[in-house]
Amino acid sequence: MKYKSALFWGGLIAAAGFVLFETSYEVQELEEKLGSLNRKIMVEQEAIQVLKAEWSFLNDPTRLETLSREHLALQPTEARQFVAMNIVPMRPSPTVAPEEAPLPPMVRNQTPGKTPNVATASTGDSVVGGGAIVQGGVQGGVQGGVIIPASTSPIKPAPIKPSAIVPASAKAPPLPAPLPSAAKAAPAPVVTTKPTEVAAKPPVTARTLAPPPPPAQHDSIGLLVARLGANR
Amino acid sequence: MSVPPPGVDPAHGAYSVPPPASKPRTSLSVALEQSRNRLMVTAAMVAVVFTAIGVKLVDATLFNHAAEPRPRMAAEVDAPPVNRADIVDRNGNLLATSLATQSLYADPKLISRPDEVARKLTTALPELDYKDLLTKLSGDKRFVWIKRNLTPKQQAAVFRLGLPGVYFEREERRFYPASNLTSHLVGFTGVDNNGLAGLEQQFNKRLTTDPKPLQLSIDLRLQHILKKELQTTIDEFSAIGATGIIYDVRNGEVMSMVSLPDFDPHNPTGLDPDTLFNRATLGVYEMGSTFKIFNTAMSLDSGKIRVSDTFDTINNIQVGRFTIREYHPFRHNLTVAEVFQESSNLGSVRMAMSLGVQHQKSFMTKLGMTRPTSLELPENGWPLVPNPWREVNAMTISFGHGISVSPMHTVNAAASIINGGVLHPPTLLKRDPAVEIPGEQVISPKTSAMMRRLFRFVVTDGTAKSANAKGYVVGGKTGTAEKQKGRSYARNSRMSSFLGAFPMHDPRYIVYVLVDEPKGTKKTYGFATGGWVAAPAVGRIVKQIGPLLGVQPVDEASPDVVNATYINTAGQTAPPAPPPPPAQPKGSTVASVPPAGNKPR
Repeated sequence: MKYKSALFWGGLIAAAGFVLFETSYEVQELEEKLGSLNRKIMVEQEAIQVLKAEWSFLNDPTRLETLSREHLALQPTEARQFVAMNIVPMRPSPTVAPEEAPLPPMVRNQTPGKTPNVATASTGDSVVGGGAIVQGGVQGGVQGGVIIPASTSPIKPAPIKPSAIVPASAKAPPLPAPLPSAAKAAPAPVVTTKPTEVAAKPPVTARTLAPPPPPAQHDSIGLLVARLGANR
Repeated sequence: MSVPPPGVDPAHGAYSVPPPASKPRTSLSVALEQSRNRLMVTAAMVAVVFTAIGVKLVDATLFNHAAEPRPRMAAEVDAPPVNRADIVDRNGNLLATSLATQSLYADPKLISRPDEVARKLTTALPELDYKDLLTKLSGDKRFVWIKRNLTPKQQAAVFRLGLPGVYFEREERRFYPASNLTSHLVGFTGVDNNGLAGLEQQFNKRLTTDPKPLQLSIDLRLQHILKKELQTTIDEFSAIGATGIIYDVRNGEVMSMVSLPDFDPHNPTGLDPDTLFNRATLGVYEMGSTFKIFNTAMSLDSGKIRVSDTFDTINNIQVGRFTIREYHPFRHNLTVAEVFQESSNLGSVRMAMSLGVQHQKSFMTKLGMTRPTSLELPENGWPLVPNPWREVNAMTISFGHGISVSPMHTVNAAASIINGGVLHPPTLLKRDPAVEIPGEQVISPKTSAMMRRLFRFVVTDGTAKSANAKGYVVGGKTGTAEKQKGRSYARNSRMSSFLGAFPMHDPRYIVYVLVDEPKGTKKTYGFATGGWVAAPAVGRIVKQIGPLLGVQPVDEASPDVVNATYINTAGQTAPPAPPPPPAQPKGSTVASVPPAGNKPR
């Protein structure tokens, strides 16, 4: 009897000790894991902080305006382009052809002849078909000597038959300007449209604004680093 | 007593009493007793000690949480990993942030061949000076900085060298994504991340204790537009500087504030002090005719002068050795409306003098012209106020000379003149919509409404026609002050300014531009006054910021707007009987769109 109870207590102590040690090791392991996870979180947070800074740096209004003037045909909105809701005419009765509805002033200004080249070029491409996009991308990549975003397009039109691509690339030489030059040509026709006071101004500011920093735009982290390195 | 049992030795009479229960105390029993006692004591001691150990063990393992600091439960997800909070604009764009970088230091005691280490380091970091580095590394110290805040590339380059005795230390570095655009506002920090200028200095404690970003009332987009137009104006008129403010008249928020020339906050040392100087808040200037805003408001608010009253604007005023005259002489006397419209000095002086010196002094004090503004910048200029405030001072102050205030003073006071008469303290922090905006009524709403008409009158028929931005109902007042050089005024160095507000039928924003020493050009026929220099800039700015601020363009000829803003030279506020019928001039805001009734066929 005595022997049995001793055995029972002894077994209990041994079991408790085992469980205790097991738990202790488990906790230790978990704590190590937690520590490493926390370190990773810190690293990620620092990376996020850097990315946030880079995002703000790339979204600098001065830089955005320079880019927009180079690549887009957009201008500051003018007061006459705003129309009160109650002035917008209701949809005409179905018997009337939609073309006859009077266009709002901002649309009327952009007669087809005056639309910037970028727009026409892109719509033309889309009419020709996916093959044209591929061709444009390839051409841009070859001519520029650098990989421009358009060169990612070969992935997109994968389902197109090879036969569709061949005629497009055969047509390549006669096709008008490649993408970069089209973008450069874009601002010119904008100026020829009825120049508003704001629209007439960009050439003045273009001269006065400092040129964008020399490193290429794709090397944004390089720019950031260059800034940081400004300290002595 | 009982009879002794038989066999008891009578010789042992002394033991006739029954013996104790224990056995006779033999030496053996004594020894046994003793050892048992000792055992008991020892056992008790052991038990006490082991109990104590057991209790302590239980306490240490089960109950005692604080004995050893446990690792944090988990890193906080939203807390920034840096010690200094970000500064963001009203839309959440970053204006200042801290980035973790590595700094390089060395322990010269552990460097056996300083020349080789120095040579290797200069190849990895070419901007270091070899000789300088060699002296540092050969010294007796245990710690020398080699270079602070390395870029990741530089760090990798040094790391690859594998030099013993050269170590990295994690540090933080302030980074300003908007760079020059907000340099005067945000300021900058020193190498130890303490604010040395601007908001970084003002809110140094707040930024280091509260990890939440500090949100400003500034809008980065407006900041860019304002700076662009100021720079254009500086270049066009070869000015030496300019400053501009965009201000919300309803709650006193500064939406944008630019002072040119500006500087790069990443590297503010060794610059021309002029670039570090904030003209918008620290600079105090004689404002010139923009002060006629306050003179006119004071006169109308006194109740003694009506807008249709006429003042002598023909005869010059002689005070001591000074003669007060007009910029352009007038051939007839002007009404108060015309005095404001044509910016007449003589009329302003006579208006002020009819109220008295004391009245002017108390009015200017009420508008906050005698002490720094409440703006949260360490660079906050004290106005230069005449002391004592004599009659001659009162005369010159009526047209903006003899008192120097900062542009922020002017804008803040002008906002109270047109917003219904409430002076809000200006702020650079975004106001909490739940908190009531502090304000003090300085003029009556009626006077304020009249001042709005006068503001609009200056742009429609006065000195600032070029400030008009169709659809935004701009109003304002020009100002041209000759700069004091030494003891006299220099004819050809001016401060030309324009204080514009829009839309005048329901004022929301003030756009203020001040240009320092503009020179006339061929295009302006040699003029460099506020109307020629600053007013066109304000017009261009309003056109661009109107859509961003959500101000709806209106038809300026519509009866609502005309009724709210009309005034004529005689001071009559009722618009001429038939307001222009629907046959409006082409090109007005909505004229090119068919009226609502005219449905398309």
